[in-house]
Amino acid sequence: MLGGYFGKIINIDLTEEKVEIEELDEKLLKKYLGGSGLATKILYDETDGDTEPLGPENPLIYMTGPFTGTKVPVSGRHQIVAKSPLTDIFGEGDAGGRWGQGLKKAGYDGVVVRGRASKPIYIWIKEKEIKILDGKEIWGLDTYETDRRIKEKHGEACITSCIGPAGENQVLLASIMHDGSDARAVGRCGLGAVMGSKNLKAIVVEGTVATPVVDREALTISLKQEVPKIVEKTKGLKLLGTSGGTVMSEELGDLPIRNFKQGNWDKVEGISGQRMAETILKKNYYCGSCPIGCGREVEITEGAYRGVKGAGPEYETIGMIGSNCLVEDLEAIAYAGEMCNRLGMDTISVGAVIAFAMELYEHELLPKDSLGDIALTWGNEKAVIALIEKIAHKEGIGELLALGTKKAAERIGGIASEFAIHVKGLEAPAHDPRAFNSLAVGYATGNRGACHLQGASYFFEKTATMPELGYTEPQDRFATEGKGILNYHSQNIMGLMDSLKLCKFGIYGGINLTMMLEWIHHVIGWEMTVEELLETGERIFNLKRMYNVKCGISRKDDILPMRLLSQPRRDTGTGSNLAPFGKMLNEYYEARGWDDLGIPTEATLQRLQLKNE
Amino acid sequence: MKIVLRLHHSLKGKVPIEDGILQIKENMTVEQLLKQLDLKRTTVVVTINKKILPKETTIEENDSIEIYPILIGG
Ligand code: SF4
Repeated sequence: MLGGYFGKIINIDLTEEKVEIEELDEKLLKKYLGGSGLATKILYDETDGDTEPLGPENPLIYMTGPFTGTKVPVSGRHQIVAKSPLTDIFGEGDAGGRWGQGLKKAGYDGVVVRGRASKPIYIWIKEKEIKILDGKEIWGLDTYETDRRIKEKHGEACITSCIGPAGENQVLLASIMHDGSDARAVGRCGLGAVMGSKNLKAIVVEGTVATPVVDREALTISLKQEVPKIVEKTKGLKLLGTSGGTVMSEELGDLPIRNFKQGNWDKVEGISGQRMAETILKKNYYCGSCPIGCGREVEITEGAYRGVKGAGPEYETIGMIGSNCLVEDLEAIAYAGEMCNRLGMDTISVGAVIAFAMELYEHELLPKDSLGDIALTWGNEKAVIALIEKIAHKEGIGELLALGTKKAAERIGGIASEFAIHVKGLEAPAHDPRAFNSLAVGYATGNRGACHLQGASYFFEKTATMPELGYTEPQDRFATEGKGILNYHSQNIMGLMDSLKLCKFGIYGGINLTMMLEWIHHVIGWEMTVEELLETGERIFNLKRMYNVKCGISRKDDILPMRLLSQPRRDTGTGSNLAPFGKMLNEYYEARGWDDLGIPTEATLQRLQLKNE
Repeated sequence: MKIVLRLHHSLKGKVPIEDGILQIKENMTVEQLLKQLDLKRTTVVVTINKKILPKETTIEENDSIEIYPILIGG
């Protein structure tokens, strides 16, 4: 018996209103594992450079991993993959919460939605019952309200993945949200717009089926040993959440300030995780099967922002909507974050596009009359809140900003692209490649664009280790040698975690390749070696790259915005550091087995069994 | 006055004091204690009797203080 998987995905064609169950072959599962890997394979086979991301031919692929639904720590996750309408290349996002476990409880590994419904609908999956239901009554509602209405109708046990008004309006920054006000987001790449383009408001899951585990006893013994160590190592994350690192990030020169332009900022303490813990924090939030609990639940009961209740701002929200726009009121950031969650938009890209607009405003480069009476000055929290609403509804200036920084800059023309901090169209998140040299290569080569989690190499330049690869101590963040190789390894590992479905914060808890192999053995029943596992991660990464090659991506696109590449931050922990990018990129291409154009060579494809994909 | 100090394992050996019972001066704040332990305030999180309190908080006799490293991520 094979554990971990049900070996079944649900194929739904909304145009034809057809539902089919597809059986998965073990060979395919072993080659791509699940989650990100398996979903990429489907996208790769069905679409290419000509596929219109908001057309019915772009499949929206939800995929769990073999660990989802088991007690393996930090495994309550799932991946969503589609061609991104924001970047027009490979798009994906990963969310925690409970939806992935819910789909497994219904007895399936994944759901692929194709086509387009003729009117608003939602999908209801409860074990053998799979229905396409009328979504008229929930269309237009925000994501918290959608979750509430669905629970009212179908009961408290069901779990919802849905879009808000931004997804319905096909805003290119739209997210797909999960678990109501717990707000676990697939934020990046505008996948909420893909869902909206299908007239699909929500996918609701429910069930009681247990995910098969080959050797439950051995797994229990292993977890008894490892989980307490994971909990102890990540205590700082539990106490302060991801925002615990905000002040340290500012000191290191890592926190984005004023659209990545300013070196330091004396207001940072006021927006920190420490301040949150002292003021609005109510309790921790734990994704399914997570012993760490880095999530924040906050409540604001008085003042201008009273009424905020639910998921608190993560570090990324604080960095992008807070310091990057110079907003210094933590409650305003929490409010803006909740607005994004409810409207269904990525707080990273929204923060980035607002900072971009603020800098354009400073230089008087925004189209006249597009702002109404909004004074888009740095730190103006009221303007930030007004813009969020406008972006979600594509009103006034919001129609332009809903395109994201790259496309908006192209439309404005002139020097506007100076202020658009993105790679391949995806806005850079709240970590700075000038503070961690490895991030320069990581952002430039991430398959979905500028992303801190596709490689998470900076983990290994601060605290984390990966002993099997010789990283027994944290690496020097300003070193220049070895960063290409570090990215090669870390991207492969993160691809594995996105496919098995493990939260990357598990690495801080000491989760390593040996543990993954042990759990693969106990859960699925496969004997794999470290080399085989790493090669699988490498295969998954290269398949995404090959998809992007089909979309016209090559070395010319593996670049950073000039601000991050050539303009030092100064007056902060980075000194005037700039990563020697070209040298690092060449080291990376060599490690990857890519040619001078950044395309995997025949030999590399052969070695990874991708030749005939 | 005495307090009970618990250090995260990764901090042991990095500070000049063993964890356990510790004698400190009266009216010491969290910030001053960290200074005495030679720990950078922005790199650690401190709990007093399991609660996170502002750095200006005065430590009281018999308080239980725990110190953990902050992790950057997310
Ligand atoms: S560490 Fe945080 S994000 Fe990761 S699974 Fe746990 S609660 Fe979710």
